[in-house]
Amino acid sequence: MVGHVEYCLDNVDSATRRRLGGLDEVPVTEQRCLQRCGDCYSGPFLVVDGELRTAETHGALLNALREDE
Amino acid sequence: MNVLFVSIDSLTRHFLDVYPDRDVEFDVETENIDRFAERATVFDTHYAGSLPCMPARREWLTGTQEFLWRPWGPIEPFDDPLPRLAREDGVLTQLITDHFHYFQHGSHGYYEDFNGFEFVRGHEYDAWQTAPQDPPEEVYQQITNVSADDPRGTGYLNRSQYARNVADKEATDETEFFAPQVFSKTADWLRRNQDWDEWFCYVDSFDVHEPFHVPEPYASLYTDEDPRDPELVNWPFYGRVDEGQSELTERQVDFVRSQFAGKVTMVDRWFGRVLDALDETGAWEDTAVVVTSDHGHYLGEHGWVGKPGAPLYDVLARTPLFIWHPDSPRRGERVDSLTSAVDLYATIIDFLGLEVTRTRHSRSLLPVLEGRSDDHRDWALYGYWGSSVNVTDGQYTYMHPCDESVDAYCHSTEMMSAYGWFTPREPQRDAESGAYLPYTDSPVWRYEAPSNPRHVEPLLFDVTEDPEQQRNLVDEDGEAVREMQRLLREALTDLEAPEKEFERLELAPRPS
Repeated sequence: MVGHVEYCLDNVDSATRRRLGGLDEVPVTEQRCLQRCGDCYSGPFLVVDGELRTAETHGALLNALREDE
Repeated sequence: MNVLFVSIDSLTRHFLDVYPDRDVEFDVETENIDRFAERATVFDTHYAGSLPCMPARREWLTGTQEFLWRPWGPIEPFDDPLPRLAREDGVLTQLITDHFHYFQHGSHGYYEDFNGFEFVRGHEYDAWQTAPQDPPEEVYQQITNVSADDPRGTGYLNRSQYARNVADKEATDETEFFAPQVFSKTADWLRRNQDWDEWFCYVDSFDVHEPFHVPEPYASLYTDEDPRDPELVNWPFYGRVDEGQSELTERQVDFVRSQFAGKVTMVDRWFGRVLDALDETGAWEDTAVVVTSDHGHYLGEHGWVGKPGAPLYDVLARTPLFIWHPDSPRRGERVDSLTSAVDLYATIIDFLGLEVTRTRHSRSLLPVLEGRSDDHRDWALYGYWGSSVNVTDGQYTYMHPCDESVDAYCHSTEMMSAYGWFTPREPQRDAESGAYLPYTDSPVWRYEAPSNPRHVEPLLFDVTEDPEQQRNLVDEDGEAVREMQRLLREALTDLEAPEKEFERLELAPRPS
């Protein structure tokens, strides 16, 4: 069960931002910067319960979140 | 007149005895800052402008209140940086710093105009040491409290860089640490450059900035903990202290505060060497000395740590400012006039006697220092680009939220990254170009990026009655809200802020 999701504004496109903002079942925090600049530059990521998660796409990260629920 | 400018980064002012805005659990030793404050003019109501680090430096060095137009970025071709103006007038200019941001992606143009610059290597993410391959575990464990960067990773801004950089520093030898080196080199420079007719020395100490990794005796000065306990972090992530990757236990918060306080004392002791050099060389008689900071740092206040996406309370926005001017009748006095970081540009121009007719958004403090005026400015604006906009009249602080559905415009001659400040830039394919800025006829790129609200509702505090900003007056003092909104609109209009800002802030359009 996921407790908290954080994402960087610079790491998401507007569609992903909307999808993350629409997640009702889990608290989501948008940050201007999560100080994960290297990971942010490398590709999509989320911080889930304090832990870094990366994937090829944000869709894959969001799908993985659903599987955790 | 010579000018010595000293920035002590992240010097949260209520940790200083000089500024007892709120209680601190330690009696933080700052005998040298106290010693300088007794001699100088102390500004009680001084505010940051554009935040964080490099935007503050563009305010100081070019007089530009940049956060209404662009985020963290380079000196622009249409700027007139202080070191360039000074050297063109025959003034020797020198930069002494350990601030890696000057040399990082996204912020060039700041050091290049100085006749000389000294860069003390190794702080924070400074791309310096590559060995040992495995960074010292003792340091590495304490600089991150959650899933760490891969210690062998080659990506940008890996925290293991800092651990490698300090691998050869002895935890008990403070002379090897950063502020001691910066201020020692400053004292040395002052002694060795007395033959020059006129100089401008710009000292930018990255300390007290994180990581709060300090040598003894400072590490143990304000805590009974073992300062090398791996469970105790000294480089916390920014954010709420009660959730997410920035979550800290009460014990961890206490420890971080103790290390910050220790670092303040270390900075102070070595800043004292600079004062000693001024004493020994007799430079006080023909030297103006400015000491300030770019912003504060949340250390649990209001439930936050670092410089996160939080409302800009005075912990971050209200900054220390001390100015020694040998001819000022206000030496040793306190001044409560409202002043802004951007004002230091025109002030230093006046100190150096440069013939500059336009100082963009900057208003010289010389009339205040000469005792000719206390009425310096009616408002001070401050904020991060693309976010809330904040205004103060010196009594009230008003934080005005933005509509996150309306993007902000980024203006620059470069395709700078709106939020990814430290990594390589990428093309802004939707950019348009034109002479959009009110203070230059130079064309710039203009492109949109998302707004980043820090709070949904407006916040209003009377900081003369409530310096800790605990009581939001928005629902109980409608008159003050209206007045501060009027002041915000007046300030944005005076500065000819982009129409887009009025739209983003849901204010009536700017008068044409």
